[in-house]
Amino acid sequence: VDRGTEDFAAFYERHRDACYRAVLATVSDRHLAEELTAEAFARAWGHWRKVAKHPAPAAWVVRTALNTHVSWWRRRRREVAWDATTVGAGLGGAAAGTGYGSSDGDATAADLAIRDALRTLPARQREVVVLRVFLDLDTRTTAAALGLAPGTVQSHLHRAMKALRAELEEKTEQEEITR
Amino acid sequence: MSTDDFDTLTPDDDEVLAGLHRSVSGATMTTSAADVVALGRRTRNRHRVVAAGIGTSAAALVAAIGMLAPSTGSGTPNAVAQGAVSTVPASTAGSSADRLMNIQEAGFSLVEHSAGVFTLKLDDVFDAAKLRGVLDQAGVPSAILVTQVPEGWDLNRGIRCTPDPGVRFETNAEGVFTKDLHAGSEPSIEIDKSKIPAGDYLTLMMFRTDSHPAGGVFGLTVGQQKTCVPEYSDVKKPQG
Repeated sequence: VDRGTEDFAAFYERHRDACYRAVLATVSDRHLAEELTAEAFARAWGHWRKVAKHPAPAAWVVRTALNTHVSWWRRRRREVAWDATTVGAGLGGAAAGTGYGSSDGDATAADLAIRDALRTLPARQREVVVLRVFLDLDTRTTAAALGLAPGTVQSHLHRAMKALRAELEEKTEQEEITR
Repeated sequence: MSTDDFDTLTPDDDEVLAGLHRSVSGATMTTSAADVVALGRRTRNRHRVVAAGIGTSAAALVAAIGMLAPSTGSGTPNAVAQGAVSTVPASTAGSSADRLMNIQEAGFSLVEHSAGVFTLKLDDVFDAAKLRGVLDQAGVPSAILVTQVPEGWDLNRGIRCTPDPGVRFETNAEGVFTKDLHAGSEPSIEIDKSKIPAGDYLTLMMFRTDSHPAGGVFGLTVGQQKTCVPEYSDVKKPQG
């Protein structure tokens, strides 16, 4: 095993779960999140000399995974059985009836609601939230990872928090009305 | 998370941040570092092969277009690509003893592994009418619907066709689909036609964005679906 691969393996072990959670929070499908995160890490391995010098290599992985998510639909179809139980456990029970939506049997309604709210954010705000919350990056590192000014990061974060609060409050109100 | 440099953080923000953390807490990657490195190696090797093959494949493509152009058809309203053509003629293969179907078309393949058990593989571009014909030939009643995803729709949510009047989603198709779709690198569907109840149809609802395939759902419907008006599948659950 070469030194680069050893370094990469150590990086992977240290950051894989945080990156996975960041991607999962965004795509809300465990199988898809795992696939996207693994693929992004594989790309990081392929460009490790460059990625290792990135201000936040884990942020590079998460951004790559989320960008892959966009192109993933273009590059590779995904078919899902509406009666997934007939196909096997691999699809997970939640895939049935939801087509290619949220597939996470372990998530509670509150978890899914907040992930849904996260997905309603504009892409840049979502990236800022994901990097700050799940990778625990500070403003300066987030700004460096995204190529933004620190003030812009704070502004995105502020707007994102406001939008998330509004979205969740609206959901709560709707639930109360339907009760 | 570090919130030291937050300009303004309200108690509500704290709650939202905690909720975000909680929503994925405990989720862990199961893929090993070795698997990721292996995936990286495969991707790198594939790119090298593609790069090496570009020169020769371009010439082959020109030749192929020249040969296939006269036979390009008019397609059908359901055809993904107008004029998709077979590179290998539809045929039955194997010895006369087994007579298992082995259809290799330009956009799909249907291979019969044992009597009545088929693996269907779809490429990005296929002729829906031709696929339906082949499934008919195999004795699998089917409906193949290919539809553009309406602009602005969220692909993260499930999309399907609104059931036609009198058609409903069969939610008990036990034994019909026997393979995990994501077990291999190519999505494929394995079908045991003997398990399809009388009156049910294998229905594929495929969606595209612009010129790209976007995904789809499949399963059995009671009755034959003829049209596709897209709807989010998490809005209304399949009828039982």
